[in-house]
Amino acid sequence: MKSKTSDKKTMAGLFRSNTFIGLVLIAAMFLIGLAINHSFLSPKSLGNIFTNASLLAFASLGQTLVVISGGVDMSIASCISFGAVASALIMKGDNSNIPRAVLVLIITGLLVGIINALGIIYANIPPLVMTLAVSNVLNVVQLIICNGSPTGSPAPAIKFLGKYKLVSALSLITLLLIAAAVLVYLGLKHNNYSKQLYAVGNNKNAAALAGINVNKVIFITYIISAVLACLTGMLLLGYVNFPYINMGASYGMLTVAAVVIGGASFAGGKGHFSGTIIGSLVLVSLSNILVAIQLNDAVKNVINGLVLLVILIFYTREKAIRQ
Amino acid sequence: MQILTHLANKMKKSQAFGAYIMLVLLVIINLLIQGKGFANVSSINSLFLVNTPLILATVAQAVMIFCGGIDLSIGATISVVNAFAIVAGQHVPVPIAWLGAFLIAVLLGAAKGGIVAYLRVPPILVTFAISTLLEGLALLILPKPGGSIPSSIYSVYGGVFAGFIPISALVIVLVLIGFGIVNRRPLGAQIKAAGANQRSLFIAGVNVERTKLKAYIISGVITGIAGLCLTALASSGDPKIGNALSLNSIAAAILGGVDLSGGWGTVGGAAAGALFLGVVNNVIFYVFNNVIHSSTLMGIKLSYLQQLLTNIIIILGLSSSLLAHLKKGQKRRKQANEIKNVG
Repeated sequence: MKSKTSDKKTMAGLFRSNTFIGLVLIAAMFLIGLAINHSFLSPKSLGNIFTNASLLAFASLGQTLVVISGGVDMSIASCISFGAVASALIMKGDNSNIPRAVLVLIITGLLVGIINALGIIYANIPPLVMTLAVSNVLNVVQLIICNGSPTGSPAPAIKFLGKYKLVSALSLITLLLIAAAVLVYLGLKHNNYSKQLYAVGNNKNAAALAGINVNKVIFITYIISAVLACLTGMLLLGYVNFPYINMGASYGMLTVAAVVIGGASFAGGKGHFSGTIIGSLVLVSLSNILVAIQLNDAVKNVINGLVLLVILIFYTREKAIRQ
Repeated sequence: MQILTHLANKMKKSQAFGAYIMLVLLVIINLLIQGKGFANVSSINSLFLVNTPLILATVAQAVMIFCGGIDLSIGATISVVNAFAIVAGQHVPVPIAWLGAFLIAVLLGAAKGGIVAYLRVPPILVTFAISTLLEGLALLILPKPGGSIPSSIYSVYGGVFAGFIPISALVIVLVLIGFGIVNRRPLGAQIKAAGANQRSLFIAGVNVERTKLKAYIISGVITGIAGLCLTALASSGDPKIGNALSLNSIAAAILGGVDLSGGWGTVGGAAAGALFLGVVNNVIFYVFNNVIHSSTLMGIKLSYLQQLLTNIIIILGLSSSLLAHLKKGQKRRKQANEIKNVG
């Protein structure tokens, strides 16, 4: 078998790469969207797609790291919901409350990440199960802090961050994402943590034997993921403008799908944030098409599940036993 | 007396010994808190009545875990069974509707097994995707809660056999006996071998894929029964009725001594783990309703607090395998020390 790196240099390897497949998928989505609705690619609609994709990409940034480390984080959705509801409650539409809100979100993210990592490392609970269980707790905490009905509103600065558009197709959120992508690209290239992250994802035992503190890497990864998700909740609040219960619920599935479409492997050790951004674009254009043909939530759920299932069958097959 | 000691010895060796002990302890604590009110037939009956769906779902989950899988879609499958049984019951005779709902669960089990065994996709991911799909499907079948079942079904399900045995407990016993028969046949060993070391099973000349598929179908059968029991209990339809059971059943199975890495555990232990969770919830419910006499505590709605506590208990349940690992760690440290001393 040829190795992956030599594959990439050949033409066939290019066609097989996830980036290429993702770009083809985006083009296909845009064409289908255009066929259904003629204003699908108007600057306004395009800006809408880009902004939503950027929000999803922000939410999936932590997921990318977690999947590279060989796990998966299902508490992201509840972190986003909590982040939105809690920050609205604390900010009360006043700029001076922003630092306090950010502090609370970071502390919550820290706690969630630590609890996730504790369960995964020390109790040997599969990451998917542990993070789902933690997300259930966080969802109830979200209900408790606002007593069932969210109040408050984003501070003007956060609203500006979520709403401002440079031109109709380019919002501030998209710009922020581009900046974040560049930072992550540079960070993942020249950083001790990133090298350790990929090593842990590839083979925990080998990483441990090479002198890497595997548990520390896993802790840091889950903490980054949870903190980023909580802050994404704040950004989402700025974009939507008012809080509601389970605001981030739909992001749980989508972050996983975006990361996998982006070429990360559930076995760990493989993946990149640029791929995740492409995956986010694919998923957001798909969901915009579903909105354009006016499907109800139940059908959307079914289609989301089917899409994820097909992606999994294509991307995550294991070796046959006889090999 | 001899039989008792023999039984006690057998229990001690059982993989689910811890679960049985915990269950007994909890029942004693419960008796102390609730007094005689807990020990009568109707109270025991209602305990089984309410918890049979969870117990059966846990047994189904345990079978999946034995063969190296895990099922995050058990809850959604049960929701689909419930929604289908209610909606179909409005158009065709109820027995046919229920049979159809049961068959759907079996088919879903076969579909999951097929994807996991033959397409070789990690079960945790497959069943996660399928759970989203099925949650949507349940909502499509039954958009909002409602519907009813003939009252005769509820009265049979909620009834008592021979004066003191709850019918719901009888269902559990029948399922356990059914799986016990499978377990004594080669298939039982093969299912666990598929979870412990599928390569060895393959080399031993057994068709691993088919073994896994069979395990998933068995699990589907039990899930179907759990769904019908839940329908009988609720007497109505709710498209989200079972969704919480996926995580609960995993937590219960771990509590019951089932090893998540596959190949190790007993269905009896799994059932005991589920009953343990059920009794814990029973205690929480009792305390919240009879000890605290207001609807809020420190300004927080009691229903939220109850949810919070239940969810935290599930995390604790999931972490209970920690105890077993600690024990193993102690043993290992002891061995290491001995080696050091000899050296």
